Amino acid sequence: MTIGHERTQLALLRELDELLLQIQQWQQVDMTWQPAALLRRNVAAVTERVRTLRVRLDAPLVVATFGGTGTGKSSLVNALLGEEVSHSGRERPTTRQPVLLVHQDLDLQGTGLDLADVQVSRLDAPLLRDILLVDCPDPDTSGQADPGSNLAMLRRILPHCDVLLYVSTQQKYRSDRISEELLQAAGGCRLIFVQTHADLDTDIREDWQRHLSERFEAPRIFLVDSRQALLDQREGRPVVAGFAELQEFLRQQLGSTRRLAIRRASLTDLLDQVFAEGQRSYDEGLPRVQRLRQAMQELQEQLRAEMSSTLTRELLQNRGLWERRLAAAVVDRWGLSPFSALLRLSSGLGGLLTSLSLLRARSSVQMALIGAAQGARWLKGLREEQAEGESISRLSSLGIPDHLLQEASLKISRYRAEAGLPVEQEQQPALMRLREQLVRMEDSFLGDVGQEVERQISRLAERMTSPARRWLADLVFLLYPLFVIVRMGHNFFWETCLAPLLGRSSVAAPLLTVEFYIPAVFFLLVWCGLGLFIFAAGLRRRLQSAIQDLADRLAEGQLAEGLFPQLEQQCEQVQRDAQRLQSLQASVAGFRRHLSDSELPLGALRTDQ
Amino acid sequence: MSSAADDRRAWTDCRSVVVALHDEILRLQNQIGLLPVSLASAQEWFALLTQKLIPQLGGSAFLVVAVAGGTNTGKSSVFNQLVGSRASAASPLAAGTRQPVCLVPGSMADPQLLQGIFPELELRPWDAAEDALSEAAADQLYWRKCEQLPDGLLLLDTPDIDSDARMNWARADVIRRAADVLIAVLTQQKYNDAVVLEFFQRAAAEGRFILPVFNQVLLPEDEPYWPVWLQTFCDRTGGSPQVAFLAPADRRAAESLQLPFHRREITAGTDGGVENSGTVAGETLDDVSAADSDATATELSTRAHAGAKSLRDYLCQLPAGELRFRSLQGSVVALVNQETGIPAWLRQVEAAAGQLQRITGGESESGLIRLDRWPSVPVASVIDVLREWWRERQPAWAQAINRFYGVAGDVLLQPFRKRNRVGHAEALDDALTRYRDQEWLLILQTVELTQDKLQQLALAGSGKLQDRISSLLAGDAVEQLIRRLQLDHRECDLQRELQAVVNSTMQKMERDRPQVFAVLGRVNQVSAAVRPVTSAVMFSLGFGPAGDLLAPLAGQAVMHTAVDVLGGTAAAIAGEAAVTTAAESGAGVLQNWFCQLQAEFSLRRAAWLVERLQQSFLGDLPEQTRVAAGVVQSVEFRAVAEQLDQLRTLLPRFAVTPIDGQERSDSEEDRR
Repeated sequence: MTIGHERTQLALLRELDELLLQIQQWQQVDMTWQPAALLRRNVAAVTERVRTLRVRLDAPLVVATFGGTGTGKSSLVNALLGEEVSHSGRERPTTRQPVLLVHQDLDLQGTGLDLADVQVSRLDAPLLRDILLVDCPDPDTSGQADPGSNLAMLRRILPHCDVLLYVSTQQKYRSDRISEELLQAAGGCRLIFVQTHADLDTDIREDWQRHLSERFEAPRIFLVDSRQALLDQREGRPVVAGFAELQEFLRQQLGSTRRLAIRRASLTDLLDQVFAEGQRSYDEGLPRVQRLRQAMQELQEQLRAEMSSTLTRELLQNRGLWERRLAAAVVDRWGLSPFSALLRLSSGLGGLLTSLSLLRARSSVQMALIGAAQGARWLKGLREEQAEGESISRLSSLGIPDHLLQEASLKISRYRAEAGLPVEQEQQPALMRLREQLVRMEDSFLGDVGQEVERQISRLAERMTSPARRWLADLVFLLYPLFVIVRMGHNFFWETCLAPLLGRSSVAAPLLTVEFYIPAVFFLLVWCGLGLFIFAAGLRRRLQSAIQDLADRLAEGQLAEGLFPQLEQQCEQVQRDAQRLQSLQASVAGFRRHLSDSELPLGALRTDQ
Repeated sequence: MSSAADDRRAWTDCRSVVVALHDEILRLQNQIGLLPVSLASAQEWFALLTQKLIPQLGGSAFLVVAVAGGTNTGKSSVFNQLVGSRASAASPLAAGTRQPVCLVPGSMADPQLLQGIFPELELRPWDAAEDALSEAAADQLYWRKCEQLPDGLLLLDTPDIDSDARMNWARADVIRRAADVLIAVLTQQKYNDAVVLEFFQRAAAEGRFILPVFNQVLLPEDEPYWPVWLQTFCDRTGGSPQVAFLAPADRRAAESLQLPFHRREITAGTDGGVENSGTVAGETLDDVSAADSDATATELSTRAHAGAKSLRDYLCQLPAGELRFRSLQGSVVALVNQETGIPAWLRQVEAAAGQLQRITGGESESGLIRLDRWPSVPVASVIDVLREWWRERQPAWAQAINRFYGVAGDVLLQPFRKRNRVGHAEALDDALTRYRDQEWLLILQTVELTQDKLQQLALAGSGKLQDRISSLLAGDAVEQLIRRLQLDHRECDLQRELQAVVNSTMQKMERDRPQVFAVLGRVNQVSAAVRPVTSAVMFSLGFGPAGDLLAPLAGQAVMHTAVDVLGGTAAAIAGEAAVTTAAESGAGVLQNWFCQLQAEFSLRRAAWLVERLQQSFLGDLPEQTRVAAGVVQSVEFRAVAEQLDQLRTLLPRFAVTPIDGQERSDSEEDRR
């Protein structure tokens, strides 16, 4: 064994270990999705075979004969070894137990073969230096694989084989039973095709190759006359041409330097096969999962729209609350000024009303408007109260009725069943769960709305309390009080005192009486009222557009968490798993790419189908 | 021994029963599409019915001989040797013969007659030997007149029974069923192939005579082996031939149609094994050595001809009538076989139907609707409709009074209503809307229940039923269904439905309990008469507007009280003693009647739902399922069983005809 060979072997081992590790990691992700679970089981079975292959990566190849009864498997083995080692005969079936032919110096322990039911012969044939030869029983004399039947024995030995010598004749090359069996066995094996009985039969290799090419790579078929070859060897003659070709081919292709290439090809085939199969079922299942996601999305959209419209309606209905909130915010920002004092006074009264209305708040929207802290407490209380009464169907105060939830659960359960996602064990009926989820959803929704309301109010308040506006308002508001004060001062200082003193007036005018003060106070109140009214009108106008704005924005917004969080998570997982499967396949393909530099002239099961 | 006329009559009787049985089975099959039972037409016994018994029972006497065997064993070669000409192309490539070829004696060269014998094959006149290689998808039969054939003997070449071209198997099966004698072409490679053995085992079980011909035999090396081969073959197929033929592996002789067939008599040895009777073997060995020697070409030809002739002669001297009888009888026996025949199939049908019956529980789709959970229609709406109904029946004066109070009440109540932002009509609408929502929820729950039920049903049904159900349960389909139901439900005018129910209930009451009805009518009129009084009293007590507002909520109680009070008043005013006798207690009767009305309405709505579900979801599935589940009680099932019984009673009439002793005991075993 050369150093170069050893190096390739080490590199191959490393690469293989990496691949296996990657597969193992992928397997460990627990998936409930049916195609994924199925693929994991299949891959587990294959990786076990891959592991045994890895152990004997550089052990001699195990070559087994395969073919119908009477096609001359044992005769071929005898001819290959140059002596009668496996009994060949005219009665069917002749070989009823696998015969393992090994070199006399070989240690069988290292091969990892299961030797139950196998008859072992040791001899000193040149061919056996490189390979282990198994003469197998036939697959076509038994109807079923009953224990002890030839078929059962064959199936037990085949997974240990690296190369199958597929032996057939003019009579049997299109046998249905044997073709089926070969399809099962050929995964992970290289194939060598041999037509025997060259002395009696017509050469049908062309037709055979044509039929084989549908499912197999069959680059070459040998035509041999085993009996003649054995005779020739015994009598020391050179063997006939066809047989000599086969001998030479075996010597060249199954030698120790080819082992790695052959095993590597088998490994890749095995993995390729199982992953390709899995990919097909994934491709079939993924659109359904996609449809489920889409349905969930649609439902969420629908529920959202429902919630938004309810919210908008209620926002518009509870304008009074808005106004008070806004007024309070404006007053807070205004600072100290005459008009702000007036506003404060009126909003103080309003606050009283607000706290009164708090007691009467019946909907969460109102609560959102009233304020977060108080609202949360109220909401919690309300829910506790409602949870106690089981019959309450409208737990959700945003008015998502049960029938919408029922509809949602109906649709989703169907899509889920179609997608192949199992229904998890539920303690409570679907409707109850949905309701709870909805409440959670609503919390986050209301949280968003509450923040939005806060923002809107502070934005409006900001605009309402710009310095210019404040000065103007104060100024205009103060006009009347100033007028009254001026009027009073004029009367007190000038008319009753200074004017007569300075002789400007003949008589001192009398002091203003109640007749003046009553209308003055009255008009003061009217003035205040007018001021408040005008201010409130502006407030209201702005509010109207703010509410509209808010409602529009809500209708566009997104909810953070859906109605079916677990299911969505599962879908997400499936998507990720599909991606990982693709990357695994890419790794296997990479593994195969290294193979192409040492193309094998051996037959195999086609992997492109 | 019964006379030939008796036999003939028996066969004719048998034929009429078999034909009736066939028709009944087809009828039964129509009913059980939803059961997980394989179709009758996929069963071996059904094929025997259509391919053997119906075409051949009671017809003219003939013997069908077919050459059968594995691919490339030389069936076509043997066939050609028998015929003495190249009638079916022999190809060195496997699975070459794709269509059967039939040689017909001159007397039977009538396409119509042949079509009668092979009803399921497309008959074509033979042109060339290559016809048999035709790759047509249809099952064809190439026929040719052959004068050398003795009268009443049809000779067929068949496709293989073991290659990967599976349609060849099916075609060979068709010929196997029609045949009376099968020439089994065996080779040392194939005599023990499971698939080949299965074919001949089935043929033997159905009473076919099997003549083994070992082809491509190496003589004399194989001389000691062929009895062993034959023993294995017989052990595994159950046949017991007395003669076998050996054809040597001689390609040149085969190509020149001079392949010899060496006849070997088989005598059962003491240990039951097959023994080659020495004398005959000795003769043939001489024969072979003579053929190998440098005899002249003509000599060889006659010898070889004598060899092929031996097989032909053997065929000609076969007891045609008896073999024909045995194959027909074997087919009937296979038909009534408890394990593989019609009885087994009927048992399957019965079991599947029982399973389905258990699942459906004899329930109809309306059984899925929980009437007790149906929401009750809002009382206020009912009362409203009732009032409306009475109003139309009141005399003009009462109508006028009520109308006046209606308007007055509305005017008076206006401010109250405005304050509460709830109008009377609005409240009613709201109640109905709420009811509609509740009803919709129940409909959805019903759909869910139906789906669960369907899923259970799918487990007990055939693939066809499963397909149908899974298409019903597909996510898109369910979504569509919900959308359609919702649309229908929204469009449904509940008010009118309610009116219809009230109308019919009231009319029924008028018919069934005229006294109560009369009293109520009077009460209603009287209520108009006393209206000013009650209104004034209630209003002055502060109940007027408030009471009116309360009405939709506590309507039932108010109504009861009102009727009670008014009934009492009315009784007093009208001096009507009948009230107490006719209506034991005004309120009690009314309550009953009211509940009945609600129930009536729920029923009507449920019926609506059932109809919708049927129309847009289930279709005729429930009906078909019911039919399939109850098929055991159906006329068709019983008819099949009856015909089968009749066939069984006919069987002993044939058993008296003497046939080979061993064969009879075999067939009797089958019958048991």
